Amino acid sequence: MAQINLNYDKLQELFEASDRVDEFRIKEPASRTIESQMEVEMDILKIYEDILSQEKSQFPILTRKRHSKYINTFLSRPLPAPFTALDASHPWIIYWLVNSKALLGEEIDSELSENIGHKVLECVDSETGAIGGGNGQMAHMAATYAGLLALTVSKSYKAAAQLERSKIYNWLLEMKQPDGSFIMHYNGEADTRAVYCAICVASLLDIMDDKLAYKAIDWLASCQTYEGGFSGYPGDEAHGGYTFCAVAALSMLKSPSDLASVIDLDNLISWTVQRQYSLEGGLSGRTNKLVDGCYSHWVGGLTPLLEIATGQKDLLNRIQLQNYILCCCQDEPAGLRDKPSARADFYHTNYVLCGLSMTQHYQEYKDGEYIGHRISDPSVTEVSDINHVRSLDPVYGVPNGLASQMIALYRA
Amino acid sequence: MYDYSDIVIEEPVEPSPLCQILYSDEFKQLIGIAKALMRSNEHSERALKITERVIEKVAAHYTIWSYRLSIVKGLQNYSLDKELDWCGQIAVHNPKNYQIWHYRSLIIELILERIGSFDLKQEYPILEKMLDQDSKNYHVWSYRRWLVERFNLFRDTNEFKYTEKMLEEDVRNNSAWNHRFFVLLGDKKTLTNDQIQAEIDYVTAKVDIAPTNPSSWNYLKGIYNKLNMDVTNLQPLATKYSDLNSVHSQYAFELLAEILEKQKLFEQAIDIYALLEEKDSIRKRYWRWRSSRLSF
Repeated sequence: MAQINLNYDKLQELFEASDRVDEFRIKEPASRTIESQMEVEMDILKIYEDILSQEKSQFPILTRKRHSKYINTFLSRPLPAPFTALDASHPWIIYWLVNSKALLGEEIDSELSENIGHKVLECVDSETGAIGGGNGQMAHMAATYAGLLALTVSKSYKAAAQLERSKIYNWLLEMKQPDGSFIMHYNGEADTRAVYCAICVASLLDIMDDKLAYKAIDWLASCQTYEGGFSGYPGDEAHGGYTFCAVAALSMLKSPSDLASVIDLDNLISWTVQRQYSLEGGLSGRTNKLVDGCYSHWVGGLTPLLEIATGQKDLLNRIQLQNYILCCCQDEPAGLRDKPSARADFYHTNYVLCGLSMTQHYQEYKDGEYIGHRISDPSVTEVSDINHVRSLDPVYGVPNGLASQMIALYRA
Repeated sequence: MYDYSDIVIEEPVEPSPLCQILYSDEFKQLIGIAKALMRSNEHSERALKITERVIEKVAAHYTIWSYRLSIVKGLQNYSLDKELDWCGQIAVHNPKNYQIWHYRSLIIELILERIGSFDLKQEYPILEKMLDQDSKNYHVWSYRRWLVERFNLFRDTNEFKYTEKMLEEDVRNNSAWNHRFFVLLGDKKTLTNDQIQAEIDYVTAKVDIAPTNPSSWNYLKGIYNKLNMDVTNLQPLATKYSDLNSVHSQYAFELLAEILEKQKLFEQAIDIYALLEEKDSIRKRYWRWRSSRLSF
């Protein structure tokens, strides 16, 4: 039970660090930001107090079986009517669920793999060859990305082989903008998400070339704000989701060890580490916004790339993030969530697990590939088998190794 | 009411059983008609109505938004102002939607194309209403940034006043700070020394109101960086808020350490980083790394 002791001790340390540098916040004028921040802190403080008042052996663990049941239930029966709100996100639903399942270390059997293949192909827009949000919907960059990832995680290679790569390539070129960015779909918006998704799609299908890459680095770099993070579009506010998209895309277009040559790396690191909150241990997506479990991935997921870029490990506090995830992001009865006041959903289940994976692994970058290593340094974190999830490729967001298998399929 | 009795709804032959949504009959009917009309590319009032009904149910249906745009373009007599009003209603009910604001910008482009001018005044009430609901709504601020760019509102009094009003209400509204930065510096024009000084005075006053607010420190450093100004000029302010016996802030300590680095006063900088390691312990490793990078 050494590991549980460590989590407990570290939580206690965090809890007792009451002499904070920002203790004077309380004397400043009240505002919406402060009020909502204090509310969340109260919720979390209560949870941490309860945990610390119990035996060390009672420290929360990953309730793997419950989460697994939550995922498998939704993979095995139809979704109730309120899910109509996600009718333009079918490939996303599949990716979130199957990736969560894979991270939990479960097998994807051949029946599920085939079903996923069938489902993704059903979303293909016959005109362009790319994938839409559902059957009969127009091709969409994010749907194409999510659909391809679903095939990648489930190793649905038969379905993958049926995708018409040359048509998709032409569609990607149509989405390409003269300034280097991409738009999401015909008449759609351009943003860093679209660029990230386009680069991932082109890499996975092994159709990346100079035309697709044209000026993309410059455009992404122009999205870095004065705060150090990246926005969705030049001039907008630095934001966790967009920062992940920009930095992951840049790491694919260059290499993570080259990041400093195109962006202000120090400012990015400074912005990133400031997303971690002293009391919560979890991360926020923007300055002065609230903690949210999904940023364990969008912001936390930057850590391996920044570690490779600087050669310095643990710029982010892994064990305190893990504590936030274990203590605050597990919903009752199952699934993972944004924060204690929120309910679990597919999106958070996936990205909180992605974040948990980051807290447990280092990534090594070798010959254009990432290799995950389970952390065994007890001064950083201790990863017990109960809480362990699979290591995650830091740019694609699927378990390590799967993306290169997909690429190899197309290369063959 | 429109007549859709001639429409033949197509359904996928053998739909995948995986994660099927149990749509209501009403929605199945609506989306079926919409897709059928879209396939025949019908530009009509009844088609417009059906897109409206689908979007009211699922605002994220980008395919239907795109179809709606082509209908609106096709119906020459349809009022684009009316379209903007409708867009506003949808926006109020779907604050986190990706499609609405981009669509709105496309409608404004269409107005400009047809009429040659657009009265910006009609945009402010809906923006105000949205940011009143959620003062940090990313989509809405992004749209506002688009307006500034499209209509050249850099250093526009109205935009400035608006960010001032927002920061008056909540000095920690980082979206308002970011917008202000764009309005001031987004077009890369050179500012006069008076303009720069006025802005620095403005931020400094905001730091004084809330010295532990990261937004104003980031903004201040952002301006210095962007305009290549000497950050050591900020030493008095950084020193003022890094006194442990008085009101202090980690951002002041950090800035002070950076200034000391610049002045090659490494030993003093290291002391500050050591203090941050202790006080801001969640970032212990980060501060230690910053400190270890100092070269004598």
